[in-house]
Amino acid sequence: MGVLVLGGGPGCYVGSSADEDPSAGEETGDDSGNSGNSGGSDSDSDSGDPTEPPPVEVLERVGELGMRRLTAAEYSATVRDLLGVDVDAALLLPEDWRQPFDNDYTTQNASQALIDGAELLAADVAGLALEPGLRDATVGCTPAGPTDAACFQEFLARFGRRALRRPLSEDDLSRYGALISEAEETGDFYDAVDVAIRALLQHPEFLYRIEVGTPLEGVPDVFALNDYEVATRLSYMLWGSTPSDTLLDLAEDDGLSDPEGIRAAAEDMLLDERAKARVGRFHALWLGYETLPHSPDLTTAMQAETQALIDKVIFDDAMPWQELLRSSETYVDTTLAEHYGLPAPATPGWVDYADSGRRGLLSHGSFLSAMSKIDDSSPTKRGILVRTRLMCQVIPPPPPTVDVDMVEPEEGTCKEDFYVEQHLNAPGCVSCHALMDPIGLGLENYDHTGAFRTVENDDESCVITGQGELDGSPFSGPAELSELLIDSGSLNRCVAEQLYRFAMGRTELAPVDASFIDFVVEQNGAEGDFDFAALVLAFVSEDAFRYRRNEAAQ
Amino acid sequence: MPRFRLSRRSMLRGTAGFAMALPALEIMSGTAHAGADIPRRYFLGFAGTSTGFPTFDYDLLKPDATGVGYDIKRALAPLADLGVREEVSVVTDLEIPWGEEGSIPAGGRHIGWHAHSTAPLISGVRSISGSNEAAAGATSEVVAADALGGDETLHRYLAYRVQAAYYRGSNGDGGNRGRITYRDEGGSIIPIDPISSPRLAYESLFTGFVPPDPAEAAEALAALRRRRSAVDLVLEDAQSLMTKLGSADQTRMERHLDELRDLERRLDEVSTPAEGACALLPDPGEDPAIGGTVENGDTNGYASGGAYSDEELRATVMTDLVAMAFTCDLTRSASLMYTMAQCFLNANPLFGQPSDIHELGHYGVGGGEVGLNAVSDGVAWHVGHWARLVQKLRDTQELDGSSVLDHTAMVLLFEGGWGFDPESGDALSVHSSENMAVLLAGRVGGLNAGGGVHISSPGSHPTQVVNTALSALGINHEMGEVSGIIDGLIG
Repeated sequence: MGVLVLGGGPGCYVGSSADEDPSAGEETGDDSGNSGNSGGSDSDSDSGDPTEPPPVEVLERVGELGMRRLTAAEYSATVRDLLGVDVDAALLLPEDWRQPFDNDYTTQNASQALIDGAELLAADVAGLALEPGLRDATVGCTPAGPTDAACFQEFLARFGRRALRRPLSEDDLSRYGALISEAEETGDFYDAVDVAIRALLQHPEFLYRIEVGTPLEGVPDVFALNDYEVATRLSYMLWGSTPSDTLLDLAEDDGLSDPEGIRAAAEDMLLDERAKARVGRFHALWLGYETLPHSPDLTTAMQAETQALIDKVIFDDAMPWQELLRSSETYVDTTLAEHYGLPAPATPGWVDYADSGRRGLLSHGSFLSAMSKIDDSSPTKRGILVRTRLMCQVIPPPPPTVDVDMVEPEEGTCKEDFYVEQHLNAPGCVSCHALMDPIGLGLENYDHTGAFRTVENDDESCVITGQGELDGSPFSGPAELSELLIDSGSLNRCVAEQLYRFAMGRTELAPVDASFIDFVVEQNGAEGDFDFAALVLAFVSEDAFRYRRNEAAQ
Repeated sequence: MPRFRLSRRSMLRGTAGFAMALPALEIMSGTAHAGADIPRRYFLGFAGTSTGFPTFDYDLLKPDATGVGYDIKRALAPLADLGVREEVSVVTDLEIPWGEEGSIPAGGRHIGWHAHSTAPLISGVRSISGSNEAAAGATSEVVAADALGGDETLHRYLAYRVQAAYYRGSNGDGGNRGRITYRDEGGSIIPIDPISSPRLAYESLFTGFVPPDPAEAAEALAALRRRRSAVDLVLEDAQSLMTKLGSADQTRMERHLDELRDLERRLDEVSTPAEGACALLPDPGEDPAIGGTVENGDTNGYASGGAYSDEELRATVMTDLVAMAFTCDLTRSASLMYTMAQCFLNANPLFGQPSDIHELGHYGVGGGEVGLNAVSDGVAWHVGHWARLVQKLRDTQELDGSSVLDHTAMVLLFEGGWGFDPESGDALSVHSSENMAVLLAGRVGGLNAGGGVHISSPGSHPTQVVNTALSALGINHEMGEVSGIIDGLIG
């Protein structure tokens, strides 16, 4: 992957973010601490003996990965799928740092806040799961008495496999089975179940996704994942939640040991509603509309609009991903239709953009609200959003002599003039701002809430031209910007790069990561329209997906 | 089987003569603290705001008069309202030096403003870089915990945060702006996530407490036994995993194990709250919902309650918890981050300004004196909660009749002051680490011996006030690259 340098003068470097840290990709070969025991559990059928490595070209695409704590969103989804209970884990777990994805494991540190929060959450979940309406489903058998060890073992084996995402070993079952003493002490079978649930939900293999794998002959730093670990990778990537029994059964039957099996499983998983939510969350975190600074009604309507488009393009109609940017219709309710100046449907539904100048996701209030500033849009920030998130380029932070809080047009100055004079005609500023501001200026007819306007903030003296430019090509409005982005040929790789960050839980990428991304993009088509579901399937069925590389020693 | 034992804390708590439910504890009533046995405590508060307002060459925090009996202006009004001026010293005209990347001075900040003053302020070590806001040294509550017998208390230290979320961009963007606690693990400086849930803070703080009523005590003990059983199993599981992990993951898991062991230890420390000042506080109940983001200038968003998670209640609960933690000797060191750096907390529910505190600092409401007043109200909100803790500790008696505050040092740091901004070149900006102020309360080691004083100490580093607090506590430690104390604070 070559370095791409655009436009800018001295000090404004723009390159592929996957290449930015020349030291990040050094392979260390560190395998200290690995015992050679394979798989994520004692019970795993893998022998632990080194296995034959894949071809060198596959090894060169295997990225580093460390243990990843469940995010608050993943925790909530997981216990919902495990036990049917709803908890807001974000209230009790340390906050997940968005940059922009919420699952970068390198930002996670165990703390008392985590340990105590996890303990309290586990107690909450156990209590909810053992309420009368859910108790029988939680336990799965009817105890003959308070000390029915057989029923307790049955519960442990079934729930334990689901919670830890691998079968419990005989030793596990024996140790956890001893918890029946709690029932013996109190005379209540469900007290033992309560303790077991609490323990399993505090177990490191529940709180973290820990991949151990099987060592490879002659390749000390790379490990082959076992089928359960592959199932877990798949489920958190595609569902943001724990593997289903079906997926675990598939792992038990060695059904995830080859690319074909993984692809087939992933195809089935993409049919699940959870995949829609997960793909929606990926886009929301990526493009910055997970939360929106608007009234609850407007926020909900905007998020529903974008999710509906994602569902339609990627799942329901199986259209190319680029249709997200081209769509000539949008899903609105009355509130949002009025906000946009579109005809309001009687009930929430699809309306035609007609000649409104809007097309696709870049016209959505969700996207246009991102990175706004001081009661108005920020052309600079919108330019950064497009460059960094949609084109995967790196823009350096402002120089230390610029106070970004205070750089605003003076009273009576039109913003567009200000940006041209202060940024684009200023020798010290233009090298970087020329990469950003012209993009944002082309979207200025849409304010920071996505509403259309012709003048700045009701000031008739400041008429917005709405003329922008992307790498020398003029445009006006989201529809034309979308076409330029599609024609730029950079979207396919950038989407794959962002998906890689999300799937691997790591923001900073190394050359070995770029190799994986490039390979997948090549398989799925580096230029022209691509199918997002096909990209996902190419991703998970790439050989290197079934391996992990040890991180460099810290 | 779970083991129960009586810790030194149990002994101390038992000494107040509470009518205890547990037979084993009954024998302990009646022994009073001797003065020399009373533990010393340290508290660090942090306010993510500057104290001045653009174009003004003064603020409403710094008293006109120095020495004792200093005058109180708007930003310090809670000191008068709560009657704690005599327990609080005000140190002004402090300064954190700055420099560009590669030439940041010792104890200094990166020239970029947000949020580069926090790291040197809390650690005494210069900013790492313009793109890294993390502290590069251990922070004072961790240092104090080590020195004040943190291994003898149920909690080594408490790290709480009032502001529930960042409230700008996507919640969760706060990162290092939401932390003021760092510890040194063999040369690696590790950020510590604070507890920001009042419910979790409560449940965690009172781990091991059982009520005095025999029936309730039996139930509580059974619950503790079950918790301990679960944690025992998890510890075994975590330890068995260690050998399967790569070295980087081993480090992560070791940290997880350390915290688990600490929970296990706390579950062992069964005790009953003692009679008198040490008491189990009422359960604060469910946490207030976490508010959504609001962008700058969205007055409707602020007026309708965005960017707010009932921080007023959260601050009150956490203050009560810290006070009781000190009173019961559950910890001897605590930090409370009232607001995150570059505080985007909604000011409207707090003092009626439909804006966030950061925005108020720049534009105020109407500018001029009105703006300065609004900013000062924001400063006063932080001072008020900090001063309430001063008041509670002052009014809480130790067993020898002295007050808890007599054995405590408390600091309140502000993210910025006002003055020159090297970024913009503005002479009177709030993006400035000139004219900073720090509040210091408590009476340990001769602090405020003759009543609170105002000391102007031009050019001194604000972290020297932290050094002073540590010195008063008898802790021989200087923070990072900042040496020396502020003269005149220890009588």
